[in-house]
Amino acid sequence: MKLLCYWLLVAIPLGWGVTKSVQKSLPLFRSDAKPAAVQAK
Amino acid sequence: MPQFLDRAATVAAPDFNRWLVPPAAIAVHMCIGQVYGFSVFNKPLAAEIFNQPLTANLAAEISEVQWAYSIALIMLGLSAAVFGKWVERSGPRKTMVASWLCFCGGLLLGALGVKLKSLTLVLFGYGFVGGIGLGLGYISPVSTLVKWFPDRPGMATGMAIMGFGGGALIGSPLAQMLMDFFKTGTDTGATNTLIAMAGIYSFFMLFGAALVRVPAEGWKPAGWEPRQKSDAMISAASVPVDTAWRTPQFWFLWVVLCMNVSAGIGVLGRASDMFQDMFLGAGDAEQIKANAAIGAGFAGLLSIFNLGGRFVWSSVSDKTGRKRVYCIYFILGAALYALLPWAQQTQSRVLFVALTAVIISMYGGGFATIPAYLKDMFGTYQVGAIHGRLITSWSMAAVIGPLLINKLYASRVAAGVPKAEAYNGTFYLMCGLLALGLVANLLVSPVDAKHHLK
Repeated sequence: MKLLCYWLLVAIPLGWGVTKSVQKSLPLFRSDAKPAAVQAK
Repeated sequence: MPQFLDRAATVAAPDFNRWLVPPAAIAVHMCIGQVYGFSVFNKPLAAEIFNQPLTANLAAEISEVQWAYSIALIMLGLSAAVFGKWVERSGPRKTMVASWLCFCGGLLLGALGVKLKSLTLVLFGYGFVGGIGLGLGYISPVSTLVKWFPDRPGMATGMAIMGFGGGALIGSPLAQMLMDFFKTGTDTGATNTLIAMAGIYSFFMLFGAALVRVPAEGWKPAGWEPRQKSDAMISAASVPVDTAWRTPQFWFLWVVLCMNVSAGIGVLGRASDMFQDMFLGAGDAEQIKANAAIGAGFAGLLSIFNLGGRFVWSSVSDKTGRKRVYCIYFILGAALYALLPWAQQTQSRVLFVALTAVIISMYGGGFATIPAYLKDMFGTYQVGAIHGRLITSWSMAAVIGPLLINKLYASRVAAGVPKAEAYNGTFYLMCGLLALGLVANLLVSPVDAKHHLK
C-alpha cells in the first residue's frame, strides 16, 4: 500500500504533465491546415 | 538532524523494498526538470524587470532574461563535475537536501530579483544558485538507482531521467496556470508564481530526500548473481573517478553523449519553427496564429516521445547491451535524418512526424542510457561522480548543437534557398554528427585492468 501511494505521488503529476502535452499537440492532427505548396498557389 | 542526512543513516534495512527508491529519484528529477520549461517566464520576467507592458515588443529584454536559463544549464554541468565526489561521499539524502536548498532557494532569489527589478539577482538566483541545485539533484538519484538495480541499471536510470523529461512537461503548464491565478492588472504574477513553485517543489524534493536509501555493503537483489567474465563490456571491477576520466573510454563516451545530444537538439530546439516553415505556408494573421498552434503541437508531441524514449530505450539496453543500443541510436538516427528531406519534398507530414518522433525518442534514450554505460565500464563505486564529469558534454552540446543548426540554416536562407528546403542541409549535418558518435562508440572497449580499484 505504501509502495502504491509513493508511486502515485509521482505518477499523478507526471500524468498531468503528459496530458497537458497531449492537449498541446492536438492542433497537429487537425486536417484543415493546408500544406505550404498548396497555399503558395 | 545532521546525522539524519548522513550516508550512514540512509543505509537500508534488510527488508527494504528497492522499488521505493525510484519514486524518490523521480520526485527530485521531475522538480529540477522544470528548468526546461523556463521559457514560459521569458516574457513576464522581461516585462516585470524592465518595467514594460506585456504587450510591448520585448525581444531585447527577453534575450537578457534567457541568460538565467543558459547559466542554469552551464552550472548544471559544472556543479555535477565539481561536486561529484562529494555527492558519492555524502550520500543521496544530504545531496538531495543540498539540491533542494539551492534549487528552491534559487527560485526564491529569482522571485526577490523580480520584485526588486534586479536582473542580476534573477541571474544569480535562478541561474547560478539554482543551477548548482540542478547538478546535485541530477546525478545523486541516478547513482543511487544504479546501485539498487545492478540487474537492470538501464531501466532504473531510465525511470529517473524520464522524470527529468517529465519535469519540463509539468513545469511549463504549472507556471502558466499559477501566473494566470496570481496576475492582476498591474502584475504578471511571476513573483508569486516563483514563490509558489518553490513551495510545491520543496514538498516533492524533501519527500524524495526522506524516502531515499542506499543498499548495505555487499547487498544484491535476491536470486541475482553478477556475471563473471561472460560479457567483457560489463566490468565487475570499479574504477575511481580520478582515474576514470583519464581513460580513453571516458572520452569516447563523452563524444558519444555530446554527438547524440547535439543531433537531437537539432530538431528539438527549432521544432515549432521547422514544422511551420516546412509544411505550413504563410497567410493572414489568423493563419499565422493557427500555424503557431500546430508548430507548438509538434513540439509538444516530440516532448512526449523524448520522455517515453528515456524509459523505453534505456530498458531495451539492458537486453541488447549498451554499446549495441548506441549503435542503433546512431545508425537508425542517421538513416531517419537522411529521410527527412524526402518527407519535406513529398509534403508528407505524417512521415515527417513519425521520423522525428523516433529520432527524439533516441535522443532521450541516449541521455538515459549513459549512466548504465558508465556503470558497465567503470563499476558502481564512483559512478555518480564519473557521470557528473561526463555531463559537461551535455553543456557543450547545448551550445554547439543550436549554434551549428542556426548558422547553417541562416546561411542557406541567405543564399536564397526557400525556407521549406533550408533545413535539409542541417539534417545531413546531423547525420555527420551521428556518424562521429558511432565511430566513438565503436572505439569503446573494456577498461584496462590496471585502472581497477584494488
